[in-house]
Amino acid sequence: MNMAAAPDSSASKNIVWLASYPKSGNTWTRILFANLVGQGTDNDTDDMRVNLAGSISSHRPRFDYLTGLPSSDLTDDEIDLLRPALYREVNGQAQKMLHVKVHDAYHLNNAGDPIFPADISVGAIYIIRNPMDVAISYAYHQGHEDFTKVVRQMGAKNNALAGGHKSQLRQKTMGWSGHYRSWTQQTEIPTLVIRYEDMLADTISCLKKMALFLGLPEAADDARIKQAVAQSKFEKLREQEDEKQFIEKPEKAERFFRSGRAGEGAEKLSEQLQRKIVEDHHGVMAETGYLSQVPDNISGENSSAANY
Amino acid sequence: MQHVPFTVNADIDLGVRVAPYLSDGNADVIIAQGEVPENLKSKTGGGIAYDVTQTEFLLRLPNGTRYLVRNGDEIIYHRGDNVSDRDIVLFLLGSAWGALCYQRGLLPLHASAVTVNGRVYAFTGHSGAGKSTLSAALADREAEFFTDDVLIINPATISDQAICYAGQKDLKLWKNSLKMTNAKKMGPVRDAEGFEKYFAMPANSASPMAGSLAALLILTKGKKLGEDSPADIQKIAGGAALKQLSSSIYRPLFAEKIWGRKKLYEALAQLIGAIEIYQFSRPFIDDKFSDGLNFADKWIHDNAEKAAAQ
Repeated sequence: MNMAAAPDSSASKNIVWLASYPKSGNTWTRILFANLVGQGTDNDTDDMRVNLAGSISSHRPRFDYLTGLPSSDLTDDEIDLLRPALYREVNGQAQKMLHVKVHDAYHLNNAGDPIFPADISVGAIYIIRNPMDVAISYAYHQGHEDFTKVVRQMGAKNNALAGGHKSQLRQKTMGWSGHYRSWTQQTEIPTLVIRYEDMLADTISCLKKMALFLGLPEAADDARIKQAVAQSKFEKLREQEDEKQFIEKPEKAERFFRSGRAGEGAEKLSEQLQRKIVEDHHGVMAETGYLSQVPDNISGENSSAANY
Repeated sequence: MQHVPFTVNADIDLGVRVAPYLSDGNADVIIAQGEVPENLKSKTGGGIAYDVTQTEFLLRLPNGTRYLVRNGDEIIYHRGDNVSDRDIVLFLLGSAWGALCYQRGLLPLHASAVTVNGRVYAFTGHSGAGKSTLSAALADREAEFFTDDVLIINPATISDQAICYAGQKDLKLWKNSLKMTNAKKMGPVRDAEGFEKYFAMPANSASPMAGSLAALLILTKGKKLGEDSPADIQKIAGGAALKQLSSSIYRPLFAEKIWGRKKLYEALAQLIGAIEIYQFSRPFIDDKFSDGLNFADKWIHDNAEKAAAQ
């Protein structure tokens, strides 16, 4: 799906936003691109960092370094005022295309400027994952198994991650559906939507599709795509994590690369929570093909509570 | 040994944080409200929120406040709409203070520190790494609190030891850190709703304003997966130490743009010759804070005792 004009990889535009709700395959996608274009890892230390050149949009030390201001003394809204200029600075310093992980919804700051400026954006790849599986993965990521809490977070339009004293800048997610809508309804940055489950089923085709969308020369090199996929196998990432802790793993999470498989949500979530997810996200689930995977007794075709 | 690296006369209440720097008479630095341009026309460098010339440094805040730091002896501030004195002072004693140090030839490190037996042990690391919390918690034991956030070194005086100065004598702590340190909660750092960071007085802040910097400990996350991520302190040297030290300076881009890389790295090389640098890895989790604290407490006292015995 392409929601806006074709991507633009002109000299002044270096940033590809890899946007997703948390635990939807974003980091895996970033690793696929890193292996495809040969950026590898940018090891400032021996931590397992993935393509720090692009890193994550909420990277607090980068904000502090480039602005010269302490993010910990600024309010989250003040930080948002500086973020468009921050990414322009990152773009200006980039020697190559950067794949920047984004968990923020697409939104404006209080000055009315988009947090993610179109004038530096090659395009965006939006990765979406079945919300049932997101709920499971996100709970473990937060270091608990309180799935009710996570389902509530996913349904909250005012939901935000981190900020304040946390190690990352605040990211307004707008909830699972709001997140998807924000990126797919904006018309400033060309956006390609990819389903995580499709990536699991046929990684090679999905990577090729994404590379084609971004106009990467590697898109025509099938051997290289195949190699990048092989280098990015989930089992391999887990092995690497065993050796060197992944820098983005929250301290309370047992590990960053935990399961990665599809279908865990249907197995582990109570019927009540599954119904709540369907109720909260009916519209987007229908649009993205996830609703048809839900058993009839849960999908509640007669439900009148669809919010989106 | 000098008491403070420079003296200040200000038309705004700078609070107790830098009280030893204040002078009623002839001060090295004058701080006053006045006209501040939005940009420096002849800038030689700059970034998102600042411009730099040979003699001037301009800092712009998102709230409309601006600071002009000039010739190392003047900070002029322009107040943004409805900006409180507290907010003016917060960033004046932060980024603007850092630029002032560079203009005066001083090297500020992004570090909080304690003293044991008169020796200064400093903790550095990125925002949220635990510099302030660890220093405050050690000051609740037998260490004396020395400085929060900024530690100032005069490269011109480095010999076989590096004399350092306290940047500010109280703390800024998030609400969750107050509980872990027994520091006395003071007023909020910002007025904004939900901004739960407070000024705080450490349990023991009786240390002097200057001392010999014994060690710089770089705070990093423990690397092992799972529960068994023990605290550890390892000495680093050579290129690794230089790299870590260069990441530990206060507002590193200000240094590069005011001093230039050559002067900066000469100063860092000098400093490396006079101090020891360690990597301190520990779990970054509140529940395990005491593990790292106990380890650091013992390590620092052992180190100080060894030094005293030599």
